Amino acid sequence: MITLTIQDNSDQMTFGATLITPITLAPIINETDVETVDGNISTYYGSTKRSYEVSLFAMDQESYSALKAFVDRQYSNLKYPKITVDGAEVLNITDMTAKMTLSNTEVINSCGLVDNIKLTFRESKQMP
Amino acid sequence: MIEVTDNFHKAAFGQIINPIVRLYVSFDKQLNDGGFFTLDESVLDGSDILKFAASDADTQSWDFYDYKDYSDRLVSASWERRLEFPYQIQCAMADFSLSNTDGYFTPLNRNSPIGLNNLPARPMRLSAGFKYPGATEFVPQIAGITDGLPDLNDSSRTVDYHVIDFLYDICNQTLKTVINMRNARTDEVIAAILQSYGLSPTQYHLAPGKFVIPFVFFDVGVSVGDALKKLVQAENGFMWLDEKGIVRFESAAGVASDTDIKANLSDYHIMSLTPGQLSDVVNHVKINIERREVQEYQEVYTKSASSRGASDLWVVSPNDTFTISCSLGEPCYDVVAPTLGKASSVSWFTAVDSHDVPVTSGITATGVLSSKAYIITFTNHHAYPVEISEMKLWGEPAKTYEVLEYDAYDDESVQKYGDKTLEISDNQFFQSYDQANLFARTIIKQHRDYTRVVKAQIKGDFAFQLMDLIRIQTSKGDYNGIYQITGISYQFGNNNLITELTLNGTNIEEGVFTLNYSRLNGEDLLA
Repeated sequence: MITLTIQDNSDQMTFGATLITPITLAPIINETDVETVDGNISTYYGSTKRSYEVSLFAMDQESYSALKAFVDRQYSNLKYPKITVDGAEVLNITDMTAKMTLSNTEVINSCGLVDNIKLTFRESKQMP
Repeated sequence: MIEVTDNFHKAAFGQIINPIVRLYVSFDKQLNDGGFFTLDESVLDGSDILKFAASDADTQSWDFYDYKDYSDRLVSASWERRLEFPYQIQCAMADFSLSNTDGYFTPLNRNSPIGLNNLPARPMRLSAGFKYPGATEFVPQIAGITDGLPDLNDSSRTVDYHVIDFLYDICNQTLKTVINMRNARTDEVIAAILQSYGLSPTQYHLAPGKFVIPFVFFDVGVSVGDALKKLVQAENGFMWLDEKGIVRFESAAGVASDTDIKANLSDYHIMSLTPGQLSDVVNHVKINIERREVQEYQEVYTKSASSRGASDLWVVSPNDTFTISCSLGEPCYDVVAPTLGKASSVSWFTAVDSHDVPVTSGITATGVLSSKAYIITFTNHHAYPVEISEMKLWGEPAKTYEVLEYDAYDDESVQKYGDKTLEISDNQFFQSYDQANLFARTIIKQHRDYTRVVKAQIKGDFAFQLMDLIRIQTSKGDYNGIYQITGISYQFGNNNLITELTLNGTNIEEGVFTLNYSRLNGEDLLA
């Protein structure tokens, strides 16, 4: 089973059964193509960073609040959380520092659960 | 061109180019205790600041600052170097933007690790290079100090710093000590100025000047920039702070002797070529300067006995001092401090008490020479007042013995473009006809026609330096030719590197007129 663990200085949450697969990988290649007068191009390459999009099954409001707290603490602690994905070594995500974004599409359904949860993690080096 | 490996150039002009910029700042201006760069032992990406070429043993004290690496916070950086006519002193400046999401660089932020050290004039170094398979190679680009406090950009949560190079900073200073020299070469005078500013000989490399200056006198408070500009102009030389922070001076002949073409740029290297503003034409040079020469010791100042009750009495109170500035008719190389009692061929003074009785002891005098005055201080060791009645000062005046009036023009250019005169009347370092002649011929030869100036946007190679000669050879042919780099600018950020060279057309086969080699009345002789 694939599990996703989010961790910061205050908390740690692991999602297994509630994780919807597949995890979407969207690499970010920081580059600019320039064209020389002979019509050829060269590429100024800066870096490649990883970005992942993860969807979760509906969860109770308490769990959702704990999840959302990771996002909020980024702005109070001025540090990004770390994520680890086990069971999918091909992704190579172990203690990856990433900016965490929670989509705005959450809906509280008739069962009192929060649904349509979509998380995005954008890799970035942690500042000292 | 800065010495780098072939791989460096290949990386600069490759298909996938991975430029990397490193930024180091010493906010606390602490000196590095023992972690200084060691030639051939320092490790790339280690704690050392810069990677020098293995053949270059230059070191200077600016390296001793304990720099911290802020490359991780670098959002963008731009830097440029350019030559300035007619003084040919090059300046470099940089701007860089840093991520400040946590307020790290917000001035007066006591919670920041750099805290209250985020002040103007912080030493900064920037190096740039390329990552290529198996290695990352850097070369220094600028060494300077931050100019003012950073600008905060709230919307992007960044701070912007402006940096000027150390030479710019030196030029903005005033001299702290008098510089008084005779029969000194230009480089020796420049060295004296730099040393008075606190630089050690390891911090500058000065080529021997071609001319000897008979008399040099700089007062305290004289602008270092003005002094250096005139000295460099009189040699028609170049002065700059190189990428490693070493002050360099080359005489005109030194520059002209370097005729190697450093790079050939073709369609593959160039993104765009656009015409720049044409260079100024100079086809007429006028130099009017008083020539001075230090004379033998002679009388340079006389004070006669004052009449009783005169308002200009030099009275020294009991056990006190009296200071007065004695205006000298001519600037002097030396003035001998006077001693009490008349004497011949030396400086002397006499003193009397309030009853006009000569005082023969107990009064001493010391003096300080400035450019046109001798400031003398008398000390009275008696318990009664004394009057300094007479005084003669002996010294070595630098007298004007001739006015150098030099006038040269290029008739053809004047006919073509009208009279475009460069007139120099305030640079006392032109002290010989040969010097004026060499300067004028070189300037007119270089500037008698509008010179093609081209702005070339190219794939950037951080090894380029000002005054490098390059050849443009493109399929379009409009701009093909040989050029000298007179400006380099880089913009790094947003995953891009934009490099623009300012290129002045040149013809290396003509060379620069050199005294003793060019034929008098030859074809390069100017009317």
